[in-house]
Amino acid sequence: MNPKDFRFHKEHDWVRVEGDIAAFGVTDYAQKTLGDIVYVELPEVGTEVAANDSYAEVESVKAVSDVISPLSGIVVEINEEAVDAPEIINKSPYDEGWLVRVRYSNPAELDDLMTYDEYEQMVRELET
Amino acid sequence: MVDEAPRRTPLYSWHVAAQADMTTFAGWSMPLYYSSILTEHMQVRRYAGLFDVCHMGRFMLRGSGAGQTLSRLIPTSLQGMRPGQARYTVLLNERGGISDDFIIYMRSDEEYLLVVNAANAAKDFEWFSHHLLEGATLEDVSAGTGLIALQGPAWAQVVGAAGVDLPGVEKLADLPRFQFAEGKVAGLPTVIMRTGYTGEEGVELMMDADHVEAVWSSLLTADGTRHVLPCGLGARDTLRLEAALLLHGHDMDESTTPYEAGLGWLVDLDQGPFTAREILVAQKEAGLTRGLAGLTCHSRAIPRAGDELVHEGKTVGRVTSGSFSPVLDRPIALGYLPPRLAAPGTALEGRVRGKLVPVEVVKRPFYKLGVTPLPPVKGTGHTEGSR
Repeated sequence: MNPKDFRFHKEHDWVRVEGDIAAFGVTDYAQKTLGDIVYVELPEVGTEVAANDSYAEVESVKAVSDVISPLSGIVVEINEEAVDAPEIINKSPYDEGWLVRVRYSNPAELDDLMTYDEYEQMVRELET
Repeated sequence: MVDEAPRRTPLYSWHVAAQADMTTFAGWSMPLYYSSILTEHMQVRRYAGLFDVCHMGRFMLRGSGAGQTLSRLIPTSLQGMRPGQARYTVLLNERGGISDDFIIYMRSDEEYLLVVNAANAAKDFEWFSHHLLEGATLEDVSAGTGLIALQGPAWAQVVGAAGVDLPGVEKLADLPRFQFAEGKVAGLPTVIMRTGYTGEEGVELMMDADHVEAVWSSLLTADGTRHVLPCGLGARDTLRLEAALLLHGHDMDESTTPYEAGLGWLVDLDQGPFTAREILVAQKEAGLTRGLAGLTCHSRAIPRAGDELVHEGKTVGRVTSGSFSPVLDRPIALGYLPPRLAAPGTALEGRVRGKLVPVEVVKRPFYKLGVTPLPPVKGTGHTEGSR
């Protein structure tokens, strides 16, 4: 999984397009900022999610954070492994730590998202 | 004082060089963690961790009126206290509320070191200064000294490896808890105090501000293969919460009395007069309307400070501290409840981010040294028994 092929939302979420399905997750910057993740609450399969709305919660030892949906659509699969062992989000945010798969409804929303390079640039600015 | 730049401890440059995640706490720039809160937490439970606690206030109370001054301000009796002993107590306001908790270290009957919370240091200094009896003086020695805490089962081994010279103490591990002695660590003059805030055995070490970094570095590298890890305020908070040690400003404050905060064991009403004694006498007679309770949650959402506690649809209290317990692998919290709902086993709900989750009252502490088993070391399948 190469995050260079992903698209990014400014709230530190990523999208990987797999045909008409898209996988969502949180970025490396997000997991680093949160620290040790101990709890993830994911929506049920079949839930409708809307771009820019919160669809999940990720909780670390120090804080809890909403996870923002980068695209609109219907949840078709959730990562049970991330629920059982949330630390995989810290270890592998772009691969094993994915959160949900969504059948997205509006491909035009992809154009509102950042490329890897644009997102990295934003994070560099946040860090300085 | 929001607009003032955060203050820096003598170890500030060390923390920055170690790439610690820094945070501002009580006006000080402090490390939140170096590697991760969970790693540092378990390091202290399994071996040893080193904390910069230079931000805490350190006052010397001296003179023929020193002991009497203290006795008038705290509910704890100092009778029978001898030089070399330490005692935990609270400072009370005129309403019987806890304005701070602190530790008294008695050097002689005319000299006491007081170690207070960073957030309350200025307020405490003023309070003590205004209440000095004749023959007592108060000096803030915080800036000229440093304070670091070495906590965890390997503490004595680590101090030993760094080199310790403690006249009158044959074996370091024999120095009892809540006692202190003056000697040298890593060749530098150090006060070795058997106190801490983690629920582990350990020491707090006080030395000249100029010597802090040398002692700190010696302790980190002295013990060969299993290096002691530096630990930040994040782990300090989860460690103290597992041990159900209270944090002033959260679990007790100016509006809670020692009885309400579960600190009745500090109160001796039979000693001479002290601040708010009559209020405590009256409260003891009338009974409490609320008390501190330990809470756990079998769901994984963590009840956090400020979250409501609900019983039969009614809000009955609030969480004052809540976090994840790395040893128990579930949320733990402290909160205030009416006495009838504060018994272990009571089922309640917590309103966590708008949703009600089941919460249960449990005994404090959540973690007890030598009793609570530690979880297996991840990745090895090896299980550790209780120590």
